[in-house]
Order: sequence, then structure tokens, then C-alpha cells
Amino acid sequence: MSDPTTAVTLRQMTELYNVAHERPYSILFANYSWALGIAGGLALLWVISAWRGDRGRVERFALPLAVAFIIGGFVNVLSEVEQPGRLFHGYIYGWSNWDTAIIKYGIILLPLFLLLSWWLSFQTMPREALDAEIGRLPAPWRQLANFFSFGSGRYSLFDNPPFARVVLVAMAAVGLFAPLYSAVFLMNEHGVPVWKSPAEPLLYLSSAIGIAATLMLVAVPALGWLATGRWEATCAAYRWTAVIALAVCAVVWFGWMAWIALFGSAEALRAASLFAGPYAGPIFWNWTIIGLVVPLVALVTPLGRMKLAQVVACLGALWGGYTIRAVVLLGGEALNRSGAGYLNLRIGAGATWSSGVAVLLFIGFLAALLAATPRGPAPSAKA
Amino acid sequence: MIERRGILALVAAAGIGAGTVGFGKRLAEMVPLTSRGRRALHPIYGNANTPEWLRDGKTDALKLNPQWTVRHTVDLQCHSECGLRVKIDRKTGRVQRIIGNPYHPNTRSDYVPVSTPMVDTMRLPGTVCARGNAGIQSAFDPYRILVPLKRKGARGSGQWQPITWDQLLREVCDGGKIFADTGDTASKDIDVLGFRGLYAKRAEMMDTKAPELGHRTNGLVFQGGRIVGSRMAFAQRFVHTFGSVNVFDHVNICELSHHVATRHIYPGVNMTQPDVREAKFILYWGTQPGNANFPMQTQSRFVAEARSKPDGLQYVVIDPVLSRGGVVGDRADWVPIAPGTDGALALGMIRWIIEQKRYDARYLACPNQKAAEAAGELSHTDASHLVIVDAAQPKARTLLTADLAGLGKAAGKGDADRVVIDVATGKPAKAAEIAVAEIDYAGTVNGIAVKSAFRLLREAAAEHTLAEYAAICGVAEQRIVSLAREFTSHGKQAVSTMYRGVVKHPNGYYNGAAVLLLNLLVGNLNETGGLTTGGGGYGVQTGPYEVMSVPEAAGAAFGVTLPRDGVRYEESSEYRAKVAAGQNPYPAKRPWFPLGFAMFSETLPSAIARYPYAADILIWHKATPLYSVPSQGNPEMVAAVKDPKNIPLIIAVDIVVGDTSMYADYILPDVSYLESWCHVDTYPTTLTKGTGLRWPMVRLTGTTADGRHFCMEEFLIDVAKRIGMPGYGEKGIPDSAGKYWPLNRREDWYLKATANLAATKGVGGDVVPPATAEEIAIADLAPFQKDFASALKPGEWPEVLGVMVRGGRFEPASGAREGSKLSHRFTSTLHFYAEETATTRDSMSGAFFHGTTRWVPPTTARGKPLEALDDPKQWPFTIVTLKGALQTHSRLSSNYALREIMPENGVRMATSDAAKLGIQSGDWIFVVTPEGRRRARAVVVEGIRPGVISFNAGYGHWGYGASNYDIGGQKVAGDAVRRAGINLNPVMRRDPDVWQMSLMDLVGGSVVFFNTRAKVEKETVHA
Repeated sequence: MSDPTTAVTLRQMTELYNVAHERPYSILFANYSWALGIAGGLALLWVISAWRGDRGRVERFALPLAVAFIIGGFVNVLSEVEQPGRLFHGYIYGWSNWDTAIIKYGIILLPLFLLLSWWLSFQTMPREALDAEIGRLPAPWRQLANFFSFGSGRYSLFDNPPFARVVLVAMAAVGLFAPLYSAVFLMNEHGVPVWKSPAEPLLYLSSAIGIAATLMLVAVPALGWLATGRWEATCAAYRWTAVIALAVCAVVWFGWMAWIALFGSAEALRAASLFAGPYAGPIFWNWTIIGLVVPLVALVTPLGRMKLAQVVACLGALWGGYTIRAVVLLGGEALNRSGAGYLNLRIGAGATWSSGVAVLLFIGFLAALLAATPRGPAPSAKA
Repeated sequence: MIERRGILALVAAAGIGAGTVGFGKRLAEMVPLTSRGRRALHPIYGNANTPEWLRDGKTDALKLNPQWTVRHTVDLQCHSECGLRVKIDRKTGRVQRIIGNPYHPNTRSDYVPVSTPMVDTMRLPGTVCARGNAGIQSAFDPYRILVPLKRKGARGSGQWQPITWDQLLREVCDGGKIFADTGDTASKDIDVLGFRGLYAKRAEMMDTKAPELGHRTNGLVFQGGRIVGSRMAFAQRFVHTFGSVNVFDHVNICELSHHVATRHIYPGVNMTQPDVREAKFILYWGTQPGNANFPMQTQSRFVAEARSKPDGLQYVVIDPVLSRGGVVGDRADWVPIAPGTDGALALGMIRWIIEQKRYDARYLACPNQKAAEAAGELSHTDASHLVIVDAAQPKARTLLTADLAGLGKAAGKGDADRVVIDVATGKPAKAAEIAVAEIDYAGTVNGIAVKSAFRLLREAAAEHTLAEYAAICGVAEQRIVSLAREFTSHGKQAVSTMYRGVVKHPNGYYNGAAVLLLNLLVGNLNETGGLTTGGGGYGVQTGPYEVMSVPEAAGAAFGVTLPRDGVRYEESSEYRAKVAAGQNPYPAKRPWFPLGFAMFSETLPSAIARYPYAADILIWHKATPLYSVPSQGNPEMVAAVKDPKNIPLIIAVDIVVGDTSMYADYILPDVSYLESWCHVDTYPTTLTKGTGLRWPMVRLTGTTADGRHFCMEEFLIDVAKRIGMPGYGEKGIPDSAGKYWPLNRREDWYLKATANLAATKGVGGDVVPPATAEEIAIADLAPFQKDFASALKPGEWPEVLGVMVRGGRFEPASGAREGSKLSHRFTSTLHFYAEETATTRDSMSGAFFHGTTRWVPPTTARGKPLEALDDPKQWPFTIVTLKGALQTHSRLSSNYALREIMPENGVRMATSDAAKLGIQSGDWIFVVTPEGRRRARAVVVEGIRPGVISFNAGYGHWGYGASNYDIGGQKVAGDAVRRAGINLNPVMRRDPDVWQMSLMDLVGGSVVFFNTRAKVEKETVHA
């Protein structure tokens, strides 16, 4: 099965396959891009919610989820670079050493994103309850809890509305940066024409928002229930947010392919020929059908009011969003620069191990933040 | 609630705990900077190299970074042999980077004069191509063999045993039942003669009834692959001193007919090249800028420079395959000619040019150089010289001499002894004595029927009409005319140049001659923008030292070579015996190649067929005939090589277990090009005089007890000393005063050759200054000088080190031109008529070869047309090879940097052919020839003539690390990257009438690569 919009003009360019050559990234980069993208999407949606004054509602559980995605994503990227210390040493040896590397933005803004998300996870907890719970702990644990919560039991950011707005703007900025960064990072990579397109960050951003919106519909209330025992529905508008974001994804993706078919360079066409040729089947099923059609049908139709349909949409969006990142990544670097052929994906043991570790840390940190949530009464919706 | 929280805490503890443990190693690596788990050199730059040169921020002066040694040497990743600048880690000895040597003419258009201090060249690096950059991987190949190996089991069993240097020398020198310990039943009882036993027979004749075969010592055969310059001279010195004439390199599989055709038109010259940068129009036949040619990167750069000028170069590639350099568009065009028909196209052009009188008649009418120069010309031809065409004449087919013409005794040879018709008088005259001669003449002189050389060419060209030529070569008649018109529209700034695509055919010599003769019609030699023979190189064999001289062995090596090159069959005892017995002496058992040399492809089959004699000891020096010779890798030939009764002792000198060396008895570890010595001349393309010096950048092989690194030279020295050959040991090399110097290590010889290079007379601006203390430090030569101090006189060292730090000696770029003329001019008579060719007979038919070119259809050795041999209806495709820019030679298969760019080759075919067969790019296909079939990927392209399929040479290895073998019980696993792709050489066409002979050009001696017919079948069931 091929993708109907791209197959006709591009298929004939497919050449030899499975020819060995160095690839800059493994599947871990797709994992990282996906996880950070979702975290960014969740952050953006939460900022909108918080700006409207809904910071005490169940939407606040988007923040621990974002933290877990960021940490999971970081595990992937630190494994991918093989030289993790370079990220760390950049702080020590001076900004100039990064020169023109795009990474110099990432090593500042992404840790800031993690810190903000972590801090705000605690800041959105009921302060008195948090303070009371910390106060009941033995002294050493109390100090540790204060440290990890940034002392959030003793003050509230939101008591200072101007500063709170500054923080929200900052959170929105890094939330926007996170989904765009991995795409812009690929755009800066030399010698891979298909990664050069501005469609790529648009696609990654809209996909991140679409996924985050479906998570807001089903995952965030579930996390609230896990933490508090109370089921509280999120705003119904997330359904249509998801619909619009996924529709934008579809337009960007098919528009991008059509652009390449009509105006693309030979190198871009060669890459696109993978999407229309050998990759066409996986793309059609995993992205077009599971990632776009199923979620859209599940959300647009009256079925979309049903939780089950929302869960299906969420799972589809998650899987589709991951697939399209993997396809763009692998499709770009699978091509030999001579055009002699392309490389089939083989996931190595190292990548599998690191992916597994990332999942464990994702679950662990998410559970930890949920466990840290005070069990007091729910804060008022407009706290 | 409590339960849920407890569960969450448990999950958190488990997840974070397990995840942290799983990620612990990576976290630990974050503190010290590591690269893939190992501590990196620099906290920010990781293991990236620091620069060679450090700049003083205040003064802007450069000085060497003490971490590095910088040396200049010469490449051998292809035969262009560009100068290299090599960056070497002083601590580890590891080569970290290779770029171009700016002193070398190949690497920059404005290359640096040798008088420039090395430190001043640091902002002027030269360039090399991707092959040159990747050469580190040839030297540091993990499959390198660094100690001698002896086979265990039968030849080709893939079982090897490391042995000591002493055991190697003892066994191969002393001989005996040296394979008794191999477990090979076929060879355990064979009593091997060894070097000592064979050398002891140096006074015996090979065959007392055939004294022309020379001494018994001709049973030593040295078959070289990539060995050139003074390294070849070193091997020749040994083999000739031993008493054998059998020392060859690879030329007949490369381009031999190109050389032979060139020699016959430009006497004594192997190669001409265009003055690319000033030419207005170039016809590239059988090659294209950017693919194999000499030198590849330089030719490409010059073409790019010339093409970008406002009124610059236009060029046309005439080749069945369009490759990198055959850009179609602005100022470049492609003529997809039918393979092997270049001669027809060139003759069509010649016919039109002559009929339209668009040749340079004034130039051609000059019968001697003096007359030419008086007329403002820079060269002259034999166009007007008369040839005896009366078959009844004893001197038929020769150029008419003065005495035969009744003009009296000539004052000398050459033009002085040639006869022309004086235009002023209409009478015969000595060519050297008049100014203007008739070029289109047929008549009688002194009763002898004669024709002018030009007339013979005119008549040969007129044997076919333009329409017939067009039909033969598949190029439209109008296109032939337009090419001819364009070629004759740029005065002397038009050039017709070629490489192997034209000549690797049974009719290759005639094709090549026709292509080159176009140049004579416009008189472009020595002209700016015309053709050049170049500045040549500096001699290194004589001077302060006579490095080739072994007076005791003078005359020891003589006789017919094993592949019968350079000798006429009619001079053999075999011929005379047949004639005496009243038999037709033709055909010979196997062809003789009186005009050829270095008949690489005929070495193995001749040795096995024992014609004209057998080989006792065969040395393969980086030679891989089973991989590289068309058809020679067939099962019958492989079986014959494996049979020790055919050749009792085979010693391979190689850097790996190669596709052919895997069948040797011993493999002697040789040095790679980054570890070896050689003096190698530059090519005509760069116009100036130059000789590059290759010398060891690193030393990687194992060592002898006295610390010499294993290699070909040390082996030959030790063999010579062990069996008592003269010219080696303490009485090794005579100097100009007659004093003998020792030859106990290779540096004893190469340093003296370098001293000759430094001392030889220059041409202006090319004297290499003594190396300064700073330069010696940059190249880290002080320890070297100390180690080899006794190899030279103390006063010679500064200049020799100067040559070493510059990587050779080169005339400055400014020496290329004298006003509008090229500085280095070739002034011998250029030949429309090759007398030597015309008076040589085909050893298979007895017919004379043609003295001037004509269209000759390709045939087998017995004259059967190839179209009749393999019906094109049954075999609709013709296979042609492609020497691409990234892969050709075996050693490049170890260059993963190149394989990463082009991992496989596949079989290219035209879109229209593929459509007929339902084939798409990437499909598996079978290429079937009369000799076998091979499975390959199809690569469907527009840039290839329909009916032609092509593959890039250098892929599809079975040796060179491509397959498993065993050394000392340890398995060495083959690498799929080296196996990748397809090599169709083993299924190329053999001559049906001569055992194990490829199709051959019997005139020029080239083996045929481009005339195998094939069919293509799409694979329907995936294997």
C-alpha cells in the first residue's frame, strides 16, 4: 500500500537499498524529539490554562507529565550523543566554544524547561497542604523535600501576579522551543536535503500540540485521579484543539510532499522517494491512518464525546507522532550521499537499552511527582 | 488513598532506581569527557584534531604545533600520484590527516616554488581528491598482514601460518620439499628449486634449441601490479641481476595500446595531454574530466578553470557512458558512441577534414623541424615523407630512404634520410633539405612506387563513406561533421585526447592512432592551448651514484620474455623450425606482442601453458590478475593456479590477503604507499618538469632481527645476499668515482637515488635548497638522518633532506610557458606513418599490421569477427567498465570513507533498455555472458548508450578482507562492505582459439575490457 499523494511521481527514483554508511542519529533521536515535543505541547496548553486562571484545576497534572517526558527525552539524547560530557562541559569552558552550533541554545533552554516544569509542578500543588505534609516529615527528609520542591510549601509564585505572568511567558517560550528545537536541529545538519524544509518544525509543533491535547483529554485526568482519587474532567475544548492540530499536521505533511514532488531538488526527491516507495506502507498505516485518520474520525464525529474514542485518538496521535518523527529522521539519513542507495532501519542493542531506560525513568519520575502530590482537598478552580 | 500513594511511591522507586542503574554508566561518563566510553583528548573538541600550525595572534606568524609532524610524500591511491601533505601524531605515529602538498604541480594551479620555505606554505595547502584524503585507511587497514605467512593446506585453502623472516628466506632460497609441512598432498613431495637452485642455473640455456629464450634464470617471473618509478627500478635491478628478463608491471590491463599508439605517432613518448587551461576545444575520447585520467583531480580542476573563462574551453566527451565529468550543458557535450568504434568516428572526421581541406596544409608541408620553425610552427610531421608501397620491393612498407631514391648517401638518420617531393621543383628531395614538400603524393621515385604518409591516411579514411562510419559508430553523420568542423575551428587550440576507453578493444591500437592523428591535422603540438608531451621528470638512476649498475651482471638477463613482448615471432626458433619443415609458421601457439610491453594478462596463462617456457618462481607484487584481468578469474584458471605442478613456487608480496595472493604459497608483508619509497615523475598535463618523492611517513610492518621493516626491497636484498648475487651487500652501489657503497637496506638505495635527484641539472628555479633546521624539525627528520647517516656523503644530506621535506623536486609553475609557446617542446618528427608497425607481422595470421590507421573491425586473435563469435541478437548488450573517481583499485575497498559515499556499484543500464526488460533501479538482475553469469543490482540511468551496460570497477571482492580466512588457527572474519557490489571481469570473453587468453589487441598489446557481449535477465525469484 502506498501513499496516494506521493507515490506516482516519486516512486521511480528509488534505487538500491540496504547499503552501509554512517548515520548521524539512531532511533534515540526520534524518541527524544517525540518526548520533548509532547512536553512542550503540554506546557503550552497548561500555560494557556494557567493564564486563564485555571492553574488549580486538573490541568496542573500536565506538568508532572511534561517533567517525565523531558527526563525521558534527555536520557535518549544523552545516550545518542555518545559524548554526554560535551553538553556539560559547554557550561564550564565558555560559550565561545559552541561557536555556530545550534546545540548552544538547547543546552540552556531545555534544562531551563525542565527546571520550570519541575518547579511549577510543585507550585501548582495546594501550598498549605504541601507545607503541612513536608512539615510532618522527619528532619532530614524534610530538608530533602524542601530542596526538591524548591521550597514551594512556603510561598506561591502566583501570589505575585506580575512575576507569575513573566514565569508563564517563559514557560510558554520554552514550551514552544522544545517541539521546534529537534526539527531546527535537523535543519542545521549538513548534507541531508529533506531535513532542510521549514515544514519540518511546523509538522513537529502541530503534532506535539495535537498529542498534548489528546493527553489533556484522557491522560491528565487519569493522572489527577491517580494522585488525588478524584476524577475531574479537563476542558472539552482540547478535543477541538487536537482536531485542528492534527488537521494542520495533515496539511503540512501532504503539502510538504507535494512541494517536493513539484519543486524539490534531485536530492530531496531522492529522499522523498523513500516516503513514496519502500516507506510508503509503514507511513500509510502508522501515520496517515493510525496517526491522522483514526484520531480525527474519533474526535470529529459524535463519538468524540466518548472517553473510549478519546483514548483511541490519544493512542493514535501518540503513535502517529512518533512514527512521523522516525520516518523523517531515518528517511533523511538513510540515504547515501552519493545516491547509491539507502539503509534499512536496524535498531541496535544500545538504542533498545537506552529506550528502555528512558521509559523506566519516565514512569519513575511521573510516579514520584504524583506520589508527592498532597492528599488535601482540591484547590479551588480559580485559585 | 494511602494504598494508591504507596503504589505510586513503589513505582517511582522502582522506575527511578532501575532507570538510574541502567543509565549509570552514561551518567558517569558525563563528568570526564569521553567519546564512546573512552576518555577524549579535549573537553570541548573531543577527539577532533588540533591544527598543524599555531598562529601568533600578535605577529600573525605561524609555527608548527608540537603535537604534529608534517611530511610531504606522493599518493598512490590512483596512478595520478599527487603530492600529499601528511599530518602525523608525534606520540602515536598515527596519520591523522592527508591533504595536498602545495609544492606538487598536481595539487594547485599556482603551486609553490621549491625555493619557498615550508613554513610559508602553510596558508597555501594543496588539494587531493577523496581517494587521497581516505588513504589513511589503506595504510591502517585492520586486514593488513604485518608478518610473513605460509600456506597451510592446499593453495587457496584460506589457512595460513605466520612464519619468521628467517624461515621465509631459508625456504624460498634453499628450496627442497618446503611444502611437506603444509599437509597438502598435491605439493608435499614437490622438490622446489628455490632462488638458490634457479640462480645456480644462470649459465644454462632455457632451451639449447632456442637460444633466443635466454638463460634458465628467466624462470623467475616478477608480476607487478601497482609498482612504478624507482620502486619498479629496484625490482628490475634485482630480477635483471638474477638473470631474468621477466619483470613487468600491469600496463596491458590498464592502457597499453594507448602508449603504443602514442609512441608510434610521437616517437618514444607514452602519453600526450592537452594544455587544458588554454585550450578552446577538447575532444575527450574514452575518458572524461573527473574520472580516471592523468592526473585525475588536476585535469578536472584545469577543465573547470578553463571552462569558466569568458571565451574559455568547450569540451565533448565521446564515451558510451556519461559519468561525472561528462556534464552536458554549457560548453560541454556528450557523444554516446558505440563501444570500440572510436576509430570509425575519428576516421569519419579525418575524411571530412581532408575533403573539406580544413587541415593545416602549411604546417603539414613542413618536412623538417627547421622548416617548421621558419614557418612559425613548433613541430613537424612526416605527412610529406614517402613510403614504399610497391609490395614487390624488399623494402616495401618502409619509408623511402635517400639512397633508394637515388639521392645519395644520407648525412644521418631520420629526416636526413627521408625523401619528399619538393613543391618548388616537383622533384624528390631529402626531407631535411627543403622548406615545403608535397603532402598528397602518389607516384614513382627512382622506379619505386611510393605514396606520401598523408596520402596513405587520406586513402585509409576514404575506405568508408561518412554514412558507413556513422552506421559503425552509432553517431549521426551530421554529428560527425559538426565535431570535425568544431575541431578545426579553433586553430591550434583544439585537442583530441584519449584514455583507455578507446583502446581496450581488439582494434584498440588503430582506434587510438586515429584519435591522435586528428591532432596532427591541426598541428597543435607544443602550442599554447594545444597538445604537450610535458616536461618529464628528473633522472634518479645516474648522477653521484649509479644505482642501477651491477657490472658483474651486465648481459645476464636476455631473451624472450614469458609473455613474448617486444620480440617478433619471426625471430624465434619455433618459427624458423616450422619454416624449415615446410610448414605454415602461422599461427604461433600463442600470440607474440612485438610492439607491446608489460603484458600482464599473458603472464599467468603463458606460465601455465609453458609457452615459450615455464616459470619456476612467480612473484606477485600487489598483483591481482585473477580479479583484474578480463576472464582470468574463471574456475579453470583458478584450478590451474592452485595446482603446484604448474608453478612450483608462488610468492605474493602484498599488504593483505588479496583476491589473487590468497592462492600464493607465501605472502610477504609489503609496505603500503605511506610506508614506501619511490621517485615518480609528473604528467604532461601540468606542463612542467617534476619528480615526486614518496618516502615513509610511518613504519607499520614487522621487523627483521636487525630492525628493518618487512617489505619487498628488504626481501630482495636478503635473498640476493643469501644466494650470493652481485650488487648487494657491502659491494652494492658504485658512485661516480667508482667507489662501492653497501646495499644492506632499502634506504641505502633510495637515498642515493634521491641524492641523484637533488644533484641533477635543473631547468631554472628548480634547485631545492638545503633543509633548514626548522624544516627538519617540522618533518621530524633528525632521527631519520641519524639512523641512515652512512647511506650518503655528509655534504649530500642537506639537499636530500630538502627534497624530502618538499616531497620531490619540481620546476616552478612559471616555467610552463615561454610567451605563447610551451616551454617543453617535443621536436622529433611526428608520424602519420608508423614504420615499425607497418613492418611487423601479426603472429597469428602472418599479415602485416597497418602503418597508418584505418577502420578495423574487432576480431579474435585468429581473425574471427566478434559479431560472428557472439551473435548480437542473442547477446544484445556490450559490457564496458568504468573507472570511477571513488573506487577502482583493490586497495580502495578498505577505504570505508569512500565506501560510505558509494557503497555498491551495481550494473548501469539505459532507461530504454530497462523499460523493455521490465527492470527498475534496485531490481536484482543476472548479467549472462558466454563465460558465465553474475547477479547484480540494476542501476537504471539515462547517461549510458542503449545496448551498453557498465559497472564501476573495484567492487565485488572475494579477497582483500571480503571473505573469511585463518591465520595461525585464528579466524579472520570477512567484511561484507568489501564484498559489496559486482565485478564482471571473471565472466568476460575469452579468445576461443587460445587457451585462457582474454580477447586481445594484437597490435597494441592491450587486453580487451569492452567487447564482451551479454544478456540481462531480471531475477524473478529472489535468491
